[in-house]
Amino acid sequence: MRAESPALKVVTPERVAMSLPLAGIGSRALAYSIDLTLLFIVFMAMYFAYTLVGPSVFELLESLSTVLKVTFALLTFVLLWAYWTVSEVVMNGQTVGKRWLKIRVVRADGTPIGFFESAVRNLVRAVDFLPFLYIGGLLVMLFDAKHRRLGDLVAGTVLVREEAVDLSHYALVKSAQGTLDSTAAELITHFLSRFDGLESQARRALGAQLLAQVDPALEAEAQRALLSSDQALKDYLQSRLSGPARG
Amino acid sequence: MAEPLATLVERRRPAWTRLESLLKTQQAGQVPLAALDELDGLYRSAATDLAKVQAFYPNSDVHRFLTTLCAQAYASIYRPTHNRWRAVVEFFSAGFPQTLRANLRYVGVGAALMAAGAVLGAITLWLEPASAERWVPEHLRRFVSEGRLWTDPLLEYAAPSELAVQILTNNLRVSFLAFALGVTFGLGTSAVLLFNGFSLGATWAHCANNHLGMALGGFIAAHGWVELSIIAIAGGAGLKLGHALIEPGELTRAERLSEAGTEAVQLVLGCAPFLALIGVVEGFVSPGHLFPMWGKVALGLALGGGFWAYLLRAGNSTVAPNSSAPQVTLR
Repeated sequence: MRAESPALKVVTPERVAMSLPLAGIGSRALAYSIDLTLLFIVFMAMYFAYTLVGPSVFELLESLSTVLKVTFALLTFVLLWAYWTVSEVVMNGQTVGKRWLKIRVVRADGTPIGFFESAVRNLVRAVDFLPFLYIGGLLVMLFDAKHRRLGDLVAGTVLVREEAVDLSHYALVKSAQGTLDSTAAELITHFLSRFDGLESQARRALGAQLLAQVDPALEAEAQRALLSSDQALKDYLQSRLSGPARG
Repeated sequence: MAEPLATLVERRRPAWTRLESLLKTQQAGQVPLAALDELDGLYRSAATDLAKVQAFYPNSDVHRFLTTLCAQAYASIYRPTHNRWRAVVEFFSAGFPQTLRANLRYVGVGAALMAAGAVLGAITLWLEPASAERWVPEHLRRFVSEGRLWTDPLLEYAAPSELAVQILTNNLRVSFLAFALGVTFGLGTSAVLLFNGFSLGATWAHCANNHLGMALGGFIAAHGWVELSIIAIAGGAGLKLGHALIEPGELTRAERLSEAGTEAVQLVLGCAPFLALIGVVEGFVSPGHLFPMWGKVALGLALGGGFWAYLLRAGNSTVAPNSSAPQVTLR
């Protein structure tokens, strides 16, 4: 069983209750640093374009230099302030970093954010940053149950996680009938789908826990025999999905 | 007893996959009407599956999968309109001036704070001229001691368009900050307004002490009215946030704050294009002596009068007489 993690409880107009998992500080900070890196790269490119290409152009066309300077100054400002809101509006609540980490800004009722909400949370970003390095925003997020920073509180938004869940391992459970309850069947299929990726020590430790839960009646001797070889454990669990307990 | 999870998955998975792919095409662009119908049906059946799984198999993978799927479908069905251009036109022809009129008292308080700061600054410098060393920036004092304004040689350093952009970005930054600092229960916003007013008053008094008061007035005449109005409006937006935090009324603080936030931000965003306009005036018209004094004064009065006429009149016909706090949704 997974531990209960903070979630946004939503009831749609169709009367479906959903609880959307919330994005934590870690993924949010990571998404932010990805966006920041991206902006940094763009700024570096602009800077080099300006210093390398600029002077030669200036010498040719004196009047062009003003246009260039004005454009760069405006572009810098717009990138710094508008990047977040523009991408959140265009990409439906996501920036490049947020898309990478599969998190999304939504309203408190789970619906997509509009232009104004996005503008609010990104203007208040300036205050979240205070006194330096996002200390203020981080503190607020630590104390808020939904991991919202000040900007989210003012805009009435939250960040939710979009989990990519692979359902293919249910094909394994398909044949499981009668003797196993669904939780046990799911545990076993989960374990089997990850079996090859685990270290043998972890296999044994998890296998012991699993056997204890699925077949509490199994004798210690038989259990030890199963755990002694990876193949035996795998075969047994697979047979267990469709058949009765050993012994 | 409920259907075994694995059988349910096998039976329903094709429909879920279809819904996923429909959502992807909808994200990418237009969807034909028939597909939209299908999407609606698939969303409803997936929602039913979610309810079933939630009841019988909570915390299973299928549960998490369906939660994400339904949330995505829900979000994309309730997505706001794509017609952003019309929303922008509506915002400036009605939404922004209406919102401003509904929040005039905050703007008034913002203006009063700034005026109080200015009076304080002027009195300080008038009573104690030597305190200019503390309150007026050094590079400004250097010019004043030479008997001229720092704005005179501005055009020798930079082209008017460069000045305009500098002024614009600076003004935008100040108004954004005045708004955002509202979350400090309005304290930060008040400080910004008082301080800006104070330094304006102090600088002016310092110039007046050195017989340059009229000259500074000439510099400010063209752009001052609109610029100071906008700072007061942005400050008013911040004060609205502060007020929502201090006195949330019957809502919770968070609810009241987010309600005030989306309304207050419209005041700041609505002012942005006017700041751009006034940046151009301040860059091209205000510095130097290219334009005569009376021209600057007349232009300033016309701009200020026009700005406030727009704020107080635009979108009047579309609003019912008794509706308070009208809002337009620009999404």
